[in-house]
Amino acid sequence: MRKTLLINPKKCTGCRTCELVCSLEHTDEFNPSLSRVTMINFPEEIITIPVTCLHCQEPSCKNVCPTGAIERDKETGAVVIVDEKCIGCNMCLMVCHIGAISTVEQERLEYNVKCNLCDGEPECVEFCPTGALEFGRPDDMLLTRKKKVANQLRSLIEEAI
Amino acid sequence: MNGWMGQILRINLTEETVNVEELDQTLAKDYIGARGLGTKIFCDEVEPTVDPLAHENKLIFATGPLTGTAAVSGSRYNVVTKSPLTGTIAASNSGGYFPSELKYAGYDVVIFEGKASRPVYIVIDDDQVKIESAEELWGETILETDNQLRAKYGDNFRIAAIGPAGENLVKFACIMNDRERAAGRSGVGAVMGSKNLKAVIVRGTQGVRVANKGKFKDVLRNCLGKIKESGVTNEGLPALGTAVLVNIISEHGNLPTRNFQKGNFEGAEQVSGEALADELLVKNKACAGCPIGCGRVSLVPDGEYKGFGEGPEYETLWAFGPDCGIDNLEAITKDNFICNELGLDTITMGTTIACAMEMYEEGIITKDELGLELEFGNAQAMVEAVKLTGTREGIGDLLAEGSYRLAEKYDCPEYSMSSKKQEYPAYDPRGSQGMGLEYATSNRGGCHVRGYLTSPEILGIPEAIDPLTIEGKAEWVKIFQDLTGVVDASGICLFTTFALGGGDIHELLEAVTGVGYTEEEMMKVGERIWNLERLFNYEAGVGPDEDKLAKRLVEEPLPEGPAEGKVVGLETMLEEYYQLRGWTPEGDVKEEKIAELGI
Repeated sequence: MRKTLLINPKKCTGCRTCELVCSLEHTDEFNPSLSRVTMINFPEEIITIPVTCLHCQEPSCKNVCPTGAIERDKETGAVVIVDEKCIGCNMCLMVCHIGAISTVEQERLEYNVKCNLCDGEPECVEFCPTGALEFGRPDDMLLTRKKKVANQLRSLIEEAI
Repeated sequence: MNGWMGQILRINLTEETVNVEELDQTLAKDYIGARGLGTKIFCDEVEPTVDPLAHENKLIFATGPLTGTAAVSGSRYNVVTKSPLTGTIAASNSGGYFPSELKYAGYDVVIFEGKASRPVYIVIDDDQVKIESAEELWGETILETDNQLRAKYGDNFRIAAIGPAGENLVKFACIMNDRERAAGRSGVGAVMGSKNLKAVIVRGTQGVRVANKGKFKDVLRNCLGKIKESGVTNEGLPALGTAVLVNIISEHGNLPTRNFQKGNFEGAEQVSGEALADELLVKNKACAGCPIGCGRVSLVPDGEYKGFGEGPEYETLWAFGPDCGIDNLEAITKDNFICNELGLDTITMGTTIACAMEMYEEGIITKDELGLELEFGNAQAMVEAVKLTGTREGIGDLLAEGSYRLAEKYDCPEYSMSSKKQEYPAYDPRGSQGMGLEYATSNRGGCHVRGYLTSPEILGIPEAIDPLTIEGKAEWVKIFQDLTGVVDASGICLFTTFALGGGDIHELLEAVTGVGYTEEEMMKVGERIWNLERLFNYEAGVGPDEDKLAKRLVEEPLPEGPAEGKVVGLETMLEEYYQLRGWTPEGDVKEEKIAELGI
């Protein structure tokens, strides 16, 4: 089974380490505006959530790309942009439901970038201090959650009888 | 440059001009950044005798080379100016997101000079800098200011602002950023208010470059491993916030109670980190790049103290709690929220009220003068006093001057628990002797974050030393003060030092900047900063005579607890300290020292 990126909003403390290590990995500098993952902040409620590409099963970005620059990586399952084919037309950006594609300017050319799961070892996951971002087999990760809920249920039932 | 952005932004509010200057690389290396570089630039440009609230005083926002990087908790900046509270140099430190954004906009340092003819705010959008009218924001609270500016400019801007306290020149007003992070101490918010500067908003799209990416990641992994292994950074602070200290300090009998009349509070349990976690804590919150996440988000769901926001921290819990004889956690938390709204330093606010409470109970100040039944333990009166202070109404006008000026007005300055007119935080130095020396010698007056001797004396980090003895403390204080200078100048958070040592910080600095410091040279920067600050204070008229403690701490023994019978043995420690610092026996900085450090 392929690994998946899971976001646990409740665990996010808003430290933005994901943005910092992502931009370091992909652009060799600390620059959240170039990060492929973005911490979304709801200041009034003091809630933060990291948002990034969810590597959809039916990726609109892939479907709309006029040059076939967007592919699914066979090994990692990531929806990736092949730089050489990208003409920077922003079509993918227009149709993405998540808003996970951005435009960067490099050597005076604009082109589109997005998360590629760091070729199967996402930096944001490695450095997230609280486990708000997880990467693994969904059955394993979800079993951990199910166990947690089961434990809560168990203690509630034990208390009641 | 790697680490540094290489630019200084200078904004003259009188002329309404904006200039970008190149950062002097030698200066950057010699003073690193933030508290170091900001202080150096300030001392080079401002007369030490300047009136802190006059237009000739300058306000400097300075980041460090690690600010905006993933170096553990690289989120900090320092606000450097001359303090209206102490008359000394002020360097007030804050985290959150705003400081990193200054770097992403391309600036290491922003200098505000002069005084605007009307209320203004500054918009920094990369290289586009504008001065806008803040007429409609003047008088608004911090949160309302933040709401209005975000509504206008969007959530991608990070905001630092003053509240009514800063506008009203309250001598301990903060500059708040990202709503509820505070450059809290020494009244830097009043200086911003005196310049008619309501807020600074910033957005940046540039990157902080790193000298050695591979090495940086290795060093970061190593540092994160140490943070995970430390009981303080991996368990205590994430679980309970800084409030973890309430019970620990209380057990040592040096939790200052009722204006430092004793060192243990009968209601400590009710205002502890454990109680906070049980009753009000919603979640933890971190500043940028921080794996610790000591920030608290708290909710008082209903009742007269209803509210929601960040805090309280340990110092706040203590100042409005034990120091005012109050064990009502909800009232304390409410006070914290009000201070965040108005932009008030919680430490000086709480301790000034505690001072007024003792004066009231001693019959020095009357209920008529106060307009409040300000006795120890009266939570309602305390909350009312905080509100009045932010707007300088009624007795608030006097409380807004801080405890020293309050007590001095009634000819009883000994009731003010302060050094150099800045109030002490939450550690009774009679039960933590090294902290006494730190309070007395701190370049910004009563302060725990210039040399946090609580770490070895109470927490046993990096090694346990006897809190009740004066032996060896001078050396500990000197090393801690110098290392803290480096930490502050780098742009990372002091809390990392619960797990990391000078060697780790040196490796982080080297991986990011690549300038080739030795660890010894790095520590020298800390010493350079310390001496520079002291020289400024001397010229400002706050000399070695002011290296002293409130009379109570050196004359009245603690009445009970583990430190019973103790006073601070300041004189002996001070003598040894001056010698270790290479100063004259009178505490003056020698010419040789100035030359050695290249100040």
